[in-house]
Amino acid sequence: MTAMEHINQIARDMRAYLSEASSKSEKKFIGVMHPIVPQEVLFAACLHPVRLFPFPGEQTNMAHAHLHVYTSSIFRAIWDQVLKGQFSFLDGVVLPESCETVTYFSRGWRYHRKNDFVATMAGVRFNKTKNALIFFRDDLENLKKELEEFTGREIFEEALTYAIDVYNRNRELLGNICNLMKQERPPLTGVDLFNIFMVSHVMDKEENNRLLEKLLSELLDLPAGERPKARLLVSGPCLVDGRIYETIQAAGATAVCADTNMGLRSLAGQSESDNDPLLALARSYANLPCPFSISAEHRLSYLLDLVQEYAVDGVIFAIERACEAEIMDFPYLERELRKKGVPVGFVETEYMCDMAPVQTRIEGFIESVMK
Amino acid sequence: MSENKPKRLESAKAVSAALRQYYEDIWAGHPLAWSVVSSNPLNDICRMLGIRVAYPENYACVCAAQHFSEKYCTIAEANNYKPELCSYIRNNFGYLLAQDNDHPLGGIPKPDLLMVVSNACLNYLKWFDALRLFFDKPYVVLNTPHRMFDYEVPDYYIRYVAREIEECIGQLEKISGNKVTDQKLKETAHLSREQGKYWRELLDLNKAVPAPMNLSDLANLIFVPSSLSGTQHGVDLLKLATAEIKERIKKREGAIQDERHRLVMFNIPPWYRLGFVNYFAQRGCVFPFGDYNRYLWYTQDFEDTDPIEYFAKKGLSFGLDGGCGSTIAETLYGCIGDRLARDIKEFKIDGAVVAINKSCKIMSTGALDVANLIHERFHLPVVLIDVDQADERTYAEGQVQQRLEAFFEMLENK
Ligand code: SF4
Ligand code: SF4
Repeated sequence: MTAMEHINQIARDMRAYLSEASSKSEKKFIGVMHPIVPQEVLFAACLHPVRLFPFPGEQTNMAHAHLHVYTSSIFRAIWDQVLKGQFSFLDGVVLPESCETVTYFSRGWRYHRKNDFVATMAGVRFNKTKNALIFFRDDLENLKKELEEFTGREIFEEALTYAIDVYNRNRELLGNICNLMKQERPPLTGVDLFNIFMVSHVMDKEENNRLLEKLLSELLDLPAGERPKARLLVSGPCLVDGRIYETIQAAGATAVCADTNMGLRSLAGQSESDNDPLLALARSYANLPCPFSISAEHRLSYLLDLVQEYAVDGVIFAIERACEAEIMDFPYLERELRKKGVPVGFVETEYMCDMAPVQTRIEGFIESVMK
Repeated sequence: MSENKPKRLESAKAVSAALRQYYEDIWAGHPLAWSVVSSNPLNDICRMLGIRVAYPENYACVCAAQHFSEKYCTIAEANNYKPELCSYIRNNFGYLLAQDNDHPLGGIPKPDLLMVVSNACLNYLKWFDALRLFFDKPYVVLNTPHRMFDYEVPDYYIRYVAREIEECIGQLEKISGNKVTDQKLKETAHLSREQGKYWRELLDLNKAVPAPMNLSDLANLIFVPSSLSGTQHGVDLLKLATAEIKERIKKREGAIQDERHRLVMFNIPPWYRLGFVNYFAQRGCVFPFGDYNRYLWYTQDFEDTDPIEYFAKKGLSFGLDGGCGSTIAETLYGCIGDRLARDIKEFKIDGAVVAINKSCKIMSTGALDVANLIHERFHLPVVLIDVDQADERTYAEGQVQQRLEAFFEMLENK
């Protein structure tokens, strides 16, 4: 089986993969919401961090008793699946100060699931002052202590440094794969890229590094792919629905890069070495291009860089209906991108939403870009 | 149904006059900051520097009360501000993008700087960031991390916010060309603390039967701690209100004539239905407190000998009692414990109105669990209604009334 086939196989049924992986592993599995949590600290604590997202294709119903309909459908679906026991392989979660729903329901999680390990983490938003970095570092120290209490073992500095190396390597490999998408004829589809990222979010990082190395060497031998009719940048929060990428692909275009919580934003934490590994982590994670962490202005320059680097023909924003930080940035980003001559499309998404209107909009946008 | 007209507080007239004066004064000179109301130490600091402060959030309430929000929200939506955004934000951008000059209270002047604290909702930062880009003006941000754990706020939180306040003071001094003196800092912190004491006393006085104040009185009075914080005038107004309330209690005078039920309200009231509370009053129902006023501003008393530390704690104290650095939503889960039980008992609450507010996730997260708990643990009638605090278009009058009628029946049959 090629590396890509292996990845696609896992991506087809992530829950089955995780259940099996956890039963074989000696490590405890911990769900982590959003890319802003430095998973290195968990890895150093001999835990297996897994990015939290809902498994596809389920009806959300039980969660409605606790989370009202104006909260994020993504997080409601996660909570629903937790209540239904579909995350039974998890021993706890880390819920950072991030979007409204996740931040404010962290206490709700504790209230309902008294036996779960629930850690929270504060955010350093907007002002990245020296004080802020020290605070962030202190907060990571706090997280470290909580993890030590939970696991009953100390997290040594060497373990942290090793974890940083493993995660840096993972980001480097994923970054190399993303670079291949800059080619005129990318060797992968947007759907493949999405699956590669999703699998990296659940797999043990060292194992994932080996798989990505294999993938990269196989990709070098592959003939160039087709020239896409249009090259798109997809931007949005927790875009966990592969159907968006499939729709783009089916319309003859390729999502060559994804500025999403599941995509490129997860790569922004490359840590420089430092005598103080927690400070190194604080420094790199403080600047993640997530809307709840930085100004729309900085997101704009980040997006414009991506537009250039990936030579995209248009940006399509695919935004969860309740994701206020994202929709708050949208009017500015749309206006400014258009001013710079970058075509912009918008689709509103929800967990397992009806794809018909989304498909119509995506197809319409691709057509307009191709003209 | 009895007439049961609420009796207006005499001190409310002084508060209304202060509000009118406030909106006049903000036109009187520069620099003017636009800011957020929540437990925001930067507002106190601005006053020391001669920077006037206007609150688009407060102004959105005024717009809603005068039925302008529909117009503004529609304009904002036509300009890409999606309907899912908080209606205060849509109201604000609609106001800015409106082509005419027909605005409640004559509008609010354009800002010279934008100033924000992150302790209430996360939208604050994004909203004011968007305003900064809209106006291209300086942006002063005080990040006050949300405390999401049960234990006392650690020292490093206070240290961090105190240092950030010092940075903000430096920025504000530059903008205003004035200096914050140690003496002024001390005085302002003290006045801010004094106001808190009167505010908490006022809230506690409402445990009396009959309740001397209704939710609308509290909503009116909240203008003082939220907008006149750190001023002698604010302290005087709350002192005046406290004296009047004590008088009412002495005379056993209630906010409504025939008090038969005492209710608690969760969430922000729909500002465009000022008759909302009267509708309850007609059924003999009074609201001695709501989470909006009891659990938000000035819930705790902090030592003010080190004013910067006082302001740091104030910035971190939006919500919970027994420690600073929390959010309202934490309060909903936080209050689920002893706090709510104690308040229900001490305020002699016999029913609850729980609103789910489309705009405000922070106020609505936990609301369903609170409703369940009140019903199951305290065996009290509860009604759930859908409101939006400022977007009138979402208010389904018929549906709300239907639910309330059923609720009144439950109350009577209890
Ligand atoms: S999509 Fe947005 S609102 Fe939903 S969980 Fe992700 S960041 Fe939060
Ligand atoms: S979301 Fe809530 S706290 Fe935030 S501005 Fe709107 S009403 Fe206020």
